[in-house]
Amino acid sequence: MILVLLVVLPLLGAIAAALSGRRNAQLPRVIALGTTVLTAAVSIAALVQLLGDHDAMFAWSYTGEPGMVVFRLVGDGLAMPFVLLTALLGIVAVLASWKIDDAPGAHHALLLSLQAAVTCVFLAGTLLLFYVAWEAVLIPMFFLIGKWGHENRRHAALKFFIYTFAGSALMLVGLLVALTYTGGGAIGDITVPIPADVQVWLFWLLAAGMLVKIPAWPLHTWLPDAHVEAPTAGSIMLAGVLLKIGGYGLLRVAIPYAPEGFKAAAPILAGLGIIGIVYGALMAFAQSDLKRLVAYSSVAHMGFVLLGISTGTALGFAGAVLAMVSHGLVAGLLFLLVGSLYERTHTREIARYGGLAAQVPRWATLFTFAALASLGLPGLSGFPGEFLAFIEGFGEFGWWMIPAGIGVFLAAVYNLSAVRRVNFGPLAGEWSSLADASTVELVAALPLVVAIIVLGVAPGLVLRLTDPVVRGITMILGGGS
Amino acid sequence: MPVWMINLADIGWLPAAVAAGGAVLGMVADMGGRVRLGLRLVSAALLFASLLCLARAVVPEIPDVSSVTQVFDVILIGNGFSGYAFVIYFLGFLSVGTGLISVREASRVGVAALIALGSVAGQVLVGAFDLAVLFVSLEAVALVGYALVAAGGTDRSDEAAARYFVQGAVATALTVYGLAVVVGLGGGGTGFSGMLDGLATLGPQAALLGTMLLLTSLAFKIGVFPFHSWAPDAYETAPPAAAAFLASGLKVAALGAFIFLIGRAFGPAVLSGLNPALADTLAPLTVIIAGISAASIIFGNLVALKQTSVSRMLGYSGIAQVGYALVGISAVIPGATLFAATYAFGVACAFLSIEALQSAMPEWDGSVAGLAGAGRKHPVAAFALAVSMLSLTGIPLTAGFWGKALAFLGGLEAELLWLVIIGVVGSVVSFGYYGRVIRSLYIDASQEAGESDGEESVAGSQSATVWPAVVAAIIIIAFGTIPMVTGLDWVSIVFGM
Repeated sequence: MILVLLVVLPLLGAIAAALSGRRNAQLPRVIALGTTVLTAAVSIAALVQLLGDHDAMFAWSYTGEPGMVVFRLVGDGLAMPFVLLTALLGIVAVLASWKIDDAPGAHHALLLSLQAAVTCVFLAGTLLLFYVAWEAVLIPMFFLIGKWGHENRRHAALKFFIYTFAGSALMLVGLLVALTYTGGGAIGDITVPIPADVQVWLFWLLAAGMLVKIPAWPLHTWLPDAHVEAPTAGSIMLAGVLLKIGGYGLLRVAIPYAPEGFKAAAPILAGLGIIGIVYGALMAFAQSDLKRLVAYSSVAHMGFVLLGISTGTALGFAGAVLAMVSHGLVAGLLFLLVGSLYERTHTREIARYGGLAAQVPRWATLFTFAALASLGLPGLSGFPGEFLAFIEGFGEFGWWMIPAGIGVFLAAVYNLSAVRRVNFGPLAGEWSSLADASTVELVAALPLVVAIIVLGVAPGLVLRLTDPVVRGITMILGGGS
Repeated sequence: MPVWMINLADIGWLPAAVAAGGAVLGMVADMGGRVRLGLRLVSAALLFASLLCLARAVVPEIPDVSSVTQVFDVILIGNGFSGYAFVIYFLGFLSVGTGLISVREASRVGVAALIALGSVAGQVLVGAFDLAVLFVSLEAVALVGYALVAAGGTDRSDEAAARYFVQGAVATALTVYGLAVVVGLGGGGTGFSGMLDGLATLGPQAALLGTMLLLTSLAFKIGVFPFHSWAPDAYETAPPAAAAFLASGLKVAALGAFIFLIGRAFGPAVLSGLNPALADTLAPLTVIIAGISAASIIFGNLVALKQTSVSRMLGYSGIAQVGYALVGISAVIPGATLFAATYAFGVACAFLSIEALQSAMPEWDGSVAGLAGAGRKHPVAAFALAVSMLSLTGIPLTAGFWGKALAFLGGLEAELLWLVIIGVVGSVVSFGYYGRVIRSLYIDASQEAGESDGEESVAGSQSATVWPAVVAAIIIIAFGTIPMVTGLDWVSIVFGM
């Protein structure tokens, strides 16, 4: 029941926000904030329930009455970190779009329905529900980019939709194939193993949609456009949560259903991950647009996620989950900051900034903090996940990890150079009356900062949740570690 | 449920009689100059007929036996066909319910009566268990189709109707040849079972030729590649309310007949059980249908991408949509019929919204770009149009998703992975043009947001014609979301075969 609430609450809030938007511009914001806070409270309650129930850590707890074939929700240790992340970023996204005046009712309604759809992806207990929720994510995102985005939004919205739809349509074929072979609609209900020769191509069909979402090089080209054109709240949700459903899908569906296919594909996945790490870092370094820089850094970070998954070990999987949660927090913070700066300056051109540390100290401090977290400073959340992925990758693929190591170095280069170019140096004259981060923005940033530090110091919080599930996956793979 | 109601719903020919009677009464009212009354009579009759069929499909107390007539084999109702008949009658009801504003006033009731008679012919066509019945009802459906296209009353629609008619005549001739081979050279039996016995006595080539000629005529009516060329012109020039029924009710009837003909007579599953020798002879049919399906999907999608007119785009995309229906045609699960029904609701909803938008915005030229701002000025009709576009794409939470998912599942069961992949790639491409409509409606609106909202009052006065589009949109969403909780069983009771 509590899991159903996680999906239904934001939907109810969306309806309320849409209806209230006709009368009053302030009301939908308050409703949206209230709904997201309430949803976060419910998800914490769900976490407590999961921690209290030891079976739930090992078995797949589920809600749903018998006979309900499609709508079945499962919240286990793999899903819960992402559900909590979604709930947290939902609050941040609402706060980040506090100043939107163009149809705030519709905006917040879309934001809340996006949150409901994403939560439903993480909690989906059947293959069909997984796909339905996966695609349902696209509709609100399409409108968020298209209606509230920046200059080139018309093109970006359609490109985002078609590009990701292309991947997920192939994934649908994969899901249907899995359905015809296993017969059971529930995820993980694999009574009859799928023949090994089928698994080889089935894995790629399933992974097609997920690799586009992650996004893995060379399927990433939709991401910079979508990120740059999306409104701030859209970017936060896109980078923070939407990319994660790709990695989550690999762990939850693609690998359990096609373990043999995964084993065959693992070296290729690792290669794509390493290329993504280096390519994303180089591209981020080359950007003159601050938002594009953050977008490309996502490609690099998600490369580590793909690398961690491709190792096929429990620690590698755990590292991937950790890296995803961490990237959700860090990218959310970075997009929040970049968005708030754009709101004031109406430019994203890095060359036009400079010396902001003196003018807007609170903003600059947060930005420096986010950049340090992004480059993987030990003690902050970016470090443990990527470190685990790297170590496990070294064990699995040996010296092929050298380019990934260079990528780690490059991450420091582009992050620090961005901080230097934006925060330090002489202050450009046009920003002499620039206002510092507002209270709303600070309130939005605070939980992210806290979470980044907590996860950096105590990554075991997430690992403890994911451990039983990733062990289960490695048992399917036949390895065990 | 009272006994008399069960008895009422048990009369197989009742819906057809009600609909035809409504058509006649409407014409009588029209003779007295009472156009609105005539339209109401026809739409009320269609609604009653559709509810009779629905009751027959869903109420468990009503015995679900086929009413097969003595002389010719027709299943009027029962065995799940009542659900399909419900779809046809209900779509007719929605089309007439718009008030047919886009049709000249003098011929409004006439068009309404044609829609009612077309629904009757459609029900018979779907239930045909006999080649003679199939042929006669197919021609009746085709005649209604020609007349609906011509109802536009412009030179262009006259030309489109004439072209449609000439091409239809060729298809009819092919059917007659096919009948000559299958019935004449065979045993002379026109019933499906007698026909199969006759085919078995023929030489393999003759049997294959006869069947292919028969299927060609149906292929023309459903408008698959390469028999599609009438569709875009017809959809574009017909009045939108008439096109709504042409593209949905008549199409779904012909598609149903095609699917059931394959399923009942030529399907590999049927044949291999009854007549293994014939199964080998007709084996190429499966390959040919798969090829036609792939060609329709590729051609329809690529050409639809280039269209600027919404109706013409729907015409080309309709070719692709029929292609998806054929993907799952040879499977046991009811994917193809379910897909046909969901497609019909999607395309009907689209044309009904176009009808509403056209009467609300007389200056609109029918182009996709011309829809810019409609989402703000005419929110209700625009919402229905957007829902129909999502459903036609096959996005989850709309009925179109279940249709496509089950059609593709059927394709996988028939081991046609390559065809299914063509189908999903086609669906992705299709958002290139369906999505453009949504973008025009909502996103391009904000670029001219400064425009005065003074036209709201105009929209309000015309909104009487919007409700059929809204009803269709609600059905699409309901069929898309409710099965998430309840499962698809009840959906296949309504739409199964």
